[in-house]
Amino acid sequence: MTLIGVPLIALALIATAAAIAATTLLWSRPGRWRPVHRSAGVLLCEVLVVLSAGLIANRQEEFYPSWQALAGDTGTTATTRPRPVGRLDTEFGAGTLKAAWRPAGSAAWQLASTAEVTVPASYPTSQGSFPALVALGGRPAPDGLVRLSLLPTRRTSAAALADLPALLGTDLRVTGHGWALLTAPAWAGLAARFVAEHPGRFTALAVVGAPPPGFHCPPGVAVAVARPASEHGALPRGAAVARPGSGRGALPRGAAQLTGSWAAASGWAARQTPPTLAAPEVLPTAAVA
Amino acid sequence: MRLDGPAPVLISVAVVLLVAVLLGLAWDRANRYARTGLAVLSVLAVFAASALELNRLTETYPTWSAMFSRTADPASPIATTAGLHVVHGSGRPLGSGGRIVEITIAGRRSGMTMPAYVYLPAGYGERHERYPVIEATHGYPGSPKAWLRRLNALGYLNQEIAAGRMAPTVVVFPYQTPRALVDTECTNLTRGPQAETYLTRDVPAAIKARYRVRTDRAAWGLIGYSAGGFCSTNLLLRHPHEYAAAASLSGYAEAGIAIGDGSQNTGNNPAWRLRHLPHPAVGLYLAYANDDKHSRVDNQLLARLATAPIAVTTAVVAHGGHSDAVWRAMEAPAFDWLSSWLARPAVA
Repeated sequence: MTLIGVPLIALALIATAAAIAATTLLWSRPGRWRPVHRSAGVLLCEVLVVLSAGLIANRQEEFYPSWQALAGDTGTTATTRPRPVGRLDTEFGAGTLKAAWRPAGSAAWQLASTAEVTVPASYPTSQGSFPALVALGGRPAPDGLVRLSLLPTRRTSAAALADLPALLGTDLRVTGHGWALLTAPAWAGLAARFVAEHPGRFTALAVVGAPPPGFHCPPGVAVAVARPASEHGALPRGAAVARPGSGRGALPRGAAQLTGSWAAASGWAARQTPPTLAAPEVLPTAAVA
Repeated sequence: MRLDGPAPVLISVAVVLLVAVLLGLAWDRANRYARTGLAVLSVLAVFAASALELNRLTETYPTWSAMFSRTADPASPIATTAGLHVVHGSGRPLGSGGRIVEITIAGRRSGMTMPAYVYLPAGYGERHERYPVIEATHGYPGSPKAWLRRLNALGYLNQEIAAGRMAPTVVVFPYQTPRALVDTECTNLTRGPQAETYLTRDVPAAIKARYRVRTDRAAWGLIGYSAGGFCSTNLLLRHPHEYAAAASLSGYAEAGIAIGDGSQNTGNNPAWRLRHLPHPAVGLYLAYANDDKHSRVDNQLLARLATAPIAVTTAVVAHGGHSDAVWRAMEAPAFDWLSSWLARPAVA
């Protein structure tokens, strides 16, 4: 008999009615046990009324749809995924934190030179996955992220780079989201299109230098512009939090202004990304049609 | 004696027994008035015992004083504190785990003045980092005490942070209604409590003013169970510039109350928002028990509607209904997930 089924509720209601009837009928029956059967009858009626009300409420709201649920049994334990493995993990160790990266198909990216990955010193021994920091046309500073330096050419397009995040995910222990992108001004447009083609992947985008006219970034991505102190005079007055604009040197809407160059932008970008964590506890996922 | 502890329930059950025995013994000798009195007393005792047990299960009124309405005092300064009153966990700042302190948040914009509990991770105050923040909403009926007592938030947070599956994070447990039996669903009720303003403006302002926390959107997230699950989903979709991610444990796709302006069918309806408005770039964690029909149907709908740039992660508990056991099973995975979607602790 199920906990939220009609039969159990019907049984409870019948039992309640029977208890009330019995208590009433026996109420005036003489004998030395009269106080006892009166008290017991009243208590039984009370318990059954509360029980019936509880069963009906539980059927309505399904707090405990089964006897198992009532016992606090969820039939589920969270599991920790095994340590993720990157295909190139073995290439890194103490002293070897940098490698050329030539995944299959990378020729289509039309880069000026071979892509280069650098892992943080903690990478070889860490159990977790790292957010990635992708740099177009420059070299990011060490900051605890997996860094990927690309030198694009005019023939490099966001469409050609479409498979890059997935390939990096196969080769290195990187997270699936919370990445950052740094770019030289020359590749800012490419960077913005690349970010837009991978919704949910990038959390931050920084331009190192004056962004080109009309530069803008998809919403939901933190944007910063890093420039040396000497160039700050060119900014609109009081532009610590930028004023939107479209001309050369104007800051994109909502952009943070950083003083410095690749190092400052790397530090800022790292602060926008999630921490490197041990493999999380996970529950089974739903099949959503 | 705690109102939400086992003692009041046991005492009220003893009273029920006592009245029943008295009724059996004294019935024949009692006059009509005494008999009526005994009958009324036994009904009242049963009611009281049931109500106290329900209160214990939901933490609706965690204390005796909570039974009486907390009145808003808009003149109070923001984030007044009732001292650094440690209610759970290590009393010393150098304890191995985190601790939970109680503060009072005087909401200037909402006019709601309520207590709140704040989890401070181990090492808080020793380093110069600013921490990410999670706001945790409770069910209806309920109170933040349910997170602390029934769902053991302190234990799960300490455990996940110590294991490195979660970054050290400040977690806030606010009230979402000034009167326990007024269901706000974390919205601004027309001619009622302004819960949304309180939760999305007053609480963040108080926490940013008082604690070493990050003030940027990337480091702020939401979590909630049951009605609080609806809250976290709805508030995330309504305030994607304030929060980066939300976890809903056995939440719903709609408020299930009348807000007063009809917005339960539009702007305060996550399913409507996902169908009719541009999607924000946020992370959304939808967890439910497979035998919790209402929540399952709603979460599957939300998971279907929430397309890119919303990143949805689902989590399913095999059975357990709509109960504490289910939320305890979801807690650690949900906190781990949230931490992986929030910006790291960082020096300002």
